[in-house]
Amino acid sequence: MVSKAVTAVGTLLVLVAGAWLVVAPVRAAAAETAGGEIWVEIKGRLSQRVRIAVPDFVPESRRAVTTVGRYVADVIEYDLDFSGYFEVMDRLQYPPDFTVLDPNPRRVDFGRWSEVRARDLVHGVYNVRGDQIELECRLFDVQSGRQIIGKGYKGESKILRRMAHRFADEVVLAHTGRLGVAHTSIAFTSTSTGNKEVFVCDYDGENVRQLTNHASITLSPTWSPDATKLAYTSYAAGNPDLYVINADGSSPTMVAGYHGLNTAPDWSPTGDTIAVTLSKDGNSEIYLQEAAGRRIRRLTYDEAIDTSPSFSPDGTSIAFVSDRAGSPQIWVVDIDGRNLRRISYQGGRSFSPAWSPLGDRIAYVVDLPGEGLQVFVMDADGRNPVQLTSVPGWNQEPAWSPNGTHIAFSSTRAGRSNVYTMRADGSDVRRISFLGGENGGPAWSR
Amino acid sequence: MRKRSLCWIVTATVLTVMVLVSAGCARGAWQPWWRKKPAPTPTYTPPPQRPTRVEPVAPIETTQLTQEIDVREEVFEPATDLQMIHFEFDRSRITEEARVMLQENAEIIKENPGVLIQIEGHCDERGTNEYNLALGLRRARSTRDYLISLGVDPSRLVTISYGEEEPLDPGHNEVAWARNRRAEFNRAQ
Repeated sequence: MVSKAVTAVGTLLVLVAGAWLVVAPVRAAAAETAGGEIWVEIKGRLSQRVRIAVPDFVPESRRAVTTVGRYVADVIEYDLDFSGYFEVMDRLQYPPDFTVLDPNPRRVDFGRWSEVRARDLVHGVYNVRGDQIELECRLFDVQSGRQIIGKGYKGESKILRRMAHRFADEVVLAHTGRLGVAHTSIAFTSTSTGNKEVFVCDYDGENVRQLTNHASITLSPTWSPDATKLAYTSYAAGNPDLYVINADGSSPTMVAGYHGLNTAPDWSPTGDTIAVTLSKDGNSEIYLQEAAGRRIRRLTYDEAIDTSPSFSPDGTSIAFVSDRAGSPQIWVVDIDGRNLRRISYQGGRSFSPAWSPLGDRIAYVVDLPGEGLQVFVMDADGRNPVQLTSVPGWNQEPAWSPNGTHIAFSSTRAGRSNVYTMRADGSDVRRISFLGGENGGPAWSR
Repeated sequence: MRKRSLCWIVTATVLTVMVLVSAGCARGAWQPWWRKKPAPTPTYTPPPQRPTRVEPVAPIETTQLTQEIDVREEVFEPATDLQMIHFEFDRSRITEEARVMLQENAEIIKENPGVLIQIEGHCDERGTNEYNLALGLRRARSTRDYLISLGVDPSRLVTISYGEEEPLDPGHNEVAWARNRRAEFNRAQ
């Protein structure tokens, strides 16, 4: 009897122990994954966007609202709409009896804004003194009536647009943790003068100005990471040489003038190096040149075409185009020359890699026979290629916005080549170049 | 008797278990199975290439490594007596038709020794501007290499690429593209 009880207890113990042995590793595995990071990307679907109202700015002194007030509000509205994170309310959606903001932010009736389902409200006041303007901008959470941000700007009236852009970027920062891109610029090439030169405009295409005046062939601009300089290639001295110029157009200086190609520069995000294609050693290869000096280090050693380098955002790797496998494809290598590997595999000649500032993806271009060149994006290891453009023609030369949400590119969809921007998922395509001639080769500043 | 055989069985079992355990330890990987780490995720290997349409794969066309002299100060004029040659799409090899023309060009060049000749390489608009600058250079150098093989003095030949920047024909069709894939000749004054 006793021995039977002992056997039963013993068997029970064995079963319990066995069950624990099975369950424990499962629980342990669950605990390991639960601690990992979860990164949420706001896709900008309408139901997820922040519904925001940007009424005309009002003068401090209760005088009649002038065009200044509407102008500033319009600029901020455009910037917020562009970002993709906001549903900007139309004036028709404002509270029915709303006429104009009270300049005193404490007198805002948040209840009325809540009734029209505004989630955020921008309250702006301006003050004009001669040719100087002051702005006081506040962002309110309508539900709580709490002020989220308050910014003051002061300066010459001619930089009013820039002030509005800066505040819009702060609103984007408050909601996404990353500064908006309304303050950034896009450099591009244009043949509108009869020669191909580098031009610069605001991210939305406004304020176009000619940067270079070499009266030759000038192309491939790339910004320094602090946006104070650009590097580019020009035939000004009878050969495609590498130049650096200040962002205000002053002091263009030749920094690489080897015989043959000094082309396709890409400025490292660390600022100290410029990757460039040189052919001085027999055929096109990629070299790394000091930004502040002249020393170079060779990176590729292959008789194939190697060009179009693009740094990863941490500056440790370079994506580039090589046809060493028989056709132009996208390859990646560490800057010390190791880990050389091909990453484009979906077939079709591939060009023009552009590494996202977020590091996770690379935009590039594929030649699809019958459709022309189309912009694609893939993971940085080559997985998941996704086609972003589909209008037949030449859609090429992608360049990411510094926050990784948008891509500038050139397209011949309107006949001649022009510069466009689109969201990183291919939506919301906007044309931003309107000069004559062919416009392309965009580079997006910080 | 029974006790002793039982004893032997137990000892043998214990010894066997010890051997197995120590063998696992020697490999350095023994852990109780419930504490084993999950296998590392396999690194990405690209899928085998099975294109649905045959991708034209051009062999790598190498060019000789003979150095060119620096000619920044020279002024060049088009050499109207030297024939332009054309190339196949995305290729830099000298075609049979081009060989004939280059043979004739070589004779003319050799008749005027000491004159510097510049070879321009050009592309059609397909592909990016940056890639085409490199392809244009390859075409110019391929032309130069062939002329050298015909006995032209290397120090008389220099190359420059214009990629797709200077098309002969602004059209967007096969005829225009074929005209633009070319090498042209200039002569120093």
